Amino acid sequence: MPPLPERLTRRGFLAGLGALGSFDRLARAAESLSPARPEYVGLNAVLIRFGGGARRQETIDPKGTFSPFLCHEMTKRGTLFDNMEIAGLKGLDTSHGQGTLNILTGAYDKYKDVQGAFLGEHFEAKVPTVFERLRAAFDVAEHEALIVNGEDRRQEEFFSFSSHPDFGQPYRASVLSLYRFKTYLLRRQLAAWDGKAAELDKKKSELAKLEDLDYRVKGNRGQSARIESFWEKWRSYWGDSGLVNPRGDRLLTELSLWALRELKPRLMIVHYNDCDYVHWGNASHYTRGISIMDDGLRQLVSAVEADPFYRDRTVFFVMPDCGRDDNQLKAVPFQHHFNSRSAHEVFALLAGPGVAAGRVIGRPTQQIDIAPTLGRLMGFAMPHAQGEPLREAFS
Amino acid sequence: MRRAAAFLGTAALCLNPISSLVVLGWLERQARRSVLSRWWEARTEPAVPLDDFLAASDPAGGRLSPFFSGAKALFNTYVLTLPGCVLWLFAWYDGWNNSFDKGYEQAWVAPVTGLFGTALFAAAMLYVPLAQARQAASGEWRDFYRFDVVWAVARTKWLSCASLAALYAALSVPLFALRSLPSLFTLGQAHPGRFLLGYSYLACLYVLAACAAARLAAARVYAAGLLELVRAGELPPERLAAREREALGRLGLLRSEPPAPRHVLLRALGWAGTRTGLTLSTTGALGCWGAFVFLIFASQFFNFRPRSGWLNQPFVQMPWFRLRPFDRITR
Repeated sequence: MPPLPERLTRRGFLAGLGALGSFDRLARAAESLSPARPEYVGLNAVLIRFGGGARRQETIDPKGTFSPFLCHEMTKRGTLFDNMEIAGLKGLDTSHGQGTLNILTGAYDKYKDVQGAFLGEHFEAKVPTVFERLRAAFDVAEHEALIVNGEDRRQEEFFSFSSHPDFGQPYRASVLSLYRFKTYLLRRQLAAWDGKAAELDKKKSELAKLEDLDYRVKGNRGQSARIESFWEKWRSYWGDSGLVNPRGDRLLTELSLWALRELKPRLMIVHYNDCDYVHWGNASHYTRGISIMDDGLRQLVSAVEADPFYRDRTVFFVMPDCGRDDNQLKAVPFQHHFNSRSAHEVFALLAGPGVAAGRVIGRPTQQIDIAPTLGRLMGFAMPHAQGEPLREAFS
Repeated sequence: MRRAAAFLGTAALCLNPISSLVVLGWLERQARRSVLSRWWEARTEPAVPLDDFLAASDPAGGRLSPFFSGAKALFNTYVLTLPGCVLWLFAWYDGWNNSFDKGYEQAWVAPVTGLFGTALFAAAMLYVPLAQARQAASGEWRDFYRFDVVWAVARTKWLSCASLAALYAALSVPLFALRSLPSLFTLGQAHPGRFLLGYSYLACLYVLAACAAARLAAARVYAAGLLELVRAGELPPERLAAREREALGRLGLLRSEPPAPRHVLLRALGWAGTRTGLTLSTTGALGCWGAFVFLIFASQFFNFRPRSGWLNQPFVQMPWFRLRPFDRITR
């Protein structure tokens, strides 16, 4: 997309829109030069990152659960791996970015901030994600592979593609988030600007700052036409302020429901995170956060069942990115997830067609087993994955 | 040997808020004796042995007097410092609640409340250590509120007061570590209550020693400052507390010796230097108290304690340190 002109005329605005369409066409042209990919006719998949760091005790344990829909209903419909863990390898951290990349790539890695920032969490996957693998194997458009991300962890916007030389940007997923809406909104506002010059500079600077977060993408930083159209509808319903739409993890649920309706993604991951607020000491943020995610899961399952495009054709994967501590020496034992034994303890629940119902598998499994399992169900290979498919899930 | 045993026994009293008042009373007495010792060092009258002087100026009280002395000291300290502490508690509580709910419209409330609470606390702490020393020296709770006398001492010993703030900030670094370390422990999980009792007792050894160091340092600063004011004629004996007047009189220190007149230029330079020094030292002291508060917030992130973490700072309020394990009933 060409840079915005200093003084935007109507002609310039229309030229910009044309360029946007050109970018979209160019991307498709690039894809079409690669070997022809078959149309995707397999299962859809919705991945629910259940936290923010969530322990088994407050999720899948019937005695202590704050997620009754997950614990009592979804377990009847699918296979629960209640003894999944994040391997205790040296240099592996139990946190959100790392856990999410474990899930998306099927490989453990000692992730470090790419800019070396202290406490920074800008990670890049070195092996392709499930999005890239799906899009490389099948003719799946960018907007049909989606990450729905929250506003507290912007660095996870950029899990949409890896740094692998054979994959990367041409096979990336799209991202729905407040950050993406803000960049869309700023571009629209700048395109239609008729206010003061000083304000214009401020808005441009704001847009540049937001877009610089996407440091791997140079030049063309716009979103695809389908995503822009999505935001147009979102904007006309919820307005510009960001104060009317749902907030926190409820926003992610709303974005996901809209995505299912408008974009029809074949593969979508929802990055719930708010239960992580317990880092600041309020125990009820953890338990309420879990309840909010559970309600989000319930709404997404209902939406899938009500939509002929998704009904009986969609598999759910529900798993946390990491566990939390169980430090009995503290007033709030699950306040953090500092690589304790409990922080390594996770779970995964798979439910949908092709998945056995009502099973609980207690054998030890690994978080990196999720990606190859997803690949098996959707019909693409994950040769870079270190994990093994969860065979007990297949019916 | 006896002293070591007494120290170890006193540290155990720091495990409980009620018994820590006895420790506070004991610290008051040590501060009073430190003030008296400082004046005794500066005496002009023929030497009276220090022990005799202390016995005469600081007679032992009844058995319960340490407890009541500590309670009175704590009450006065809380009058000035508790408002700031309460504001921190609500700022943290409301701030993270608001953040969880993404209440953008009220996002400013918690940071402003927290900063205001920090400003209140830091401003109070420019006064409280010397006021605590005054109350200890005079033995009268009302003397804590003699703002004119305490503030005059603070202005006279501005550099020492800044150093005192730096001492408190430095002493709070190990305290931050002691509060936060259980976050990282894998030890003691099988019997958390027992483990934390032992851990807290070991921490109390540091807390007691550090509290004593801070209180004695404040006492020395107060003693030196008050003496300087009396000698310069800036504080007439009738404005002193009765016990102070009596002790200084016994040592022949009530005579004022106004300084020799100086050239007007020298006086102007001295005045300017003092004003500059006062401004710089106040800024420095406020910075140190800001660092002290920052460590409180940081320790709450690592190991959150909903009430005592905010409402009791061992070096300033009660010398009480006790970590408790998770209580499933209060979850």
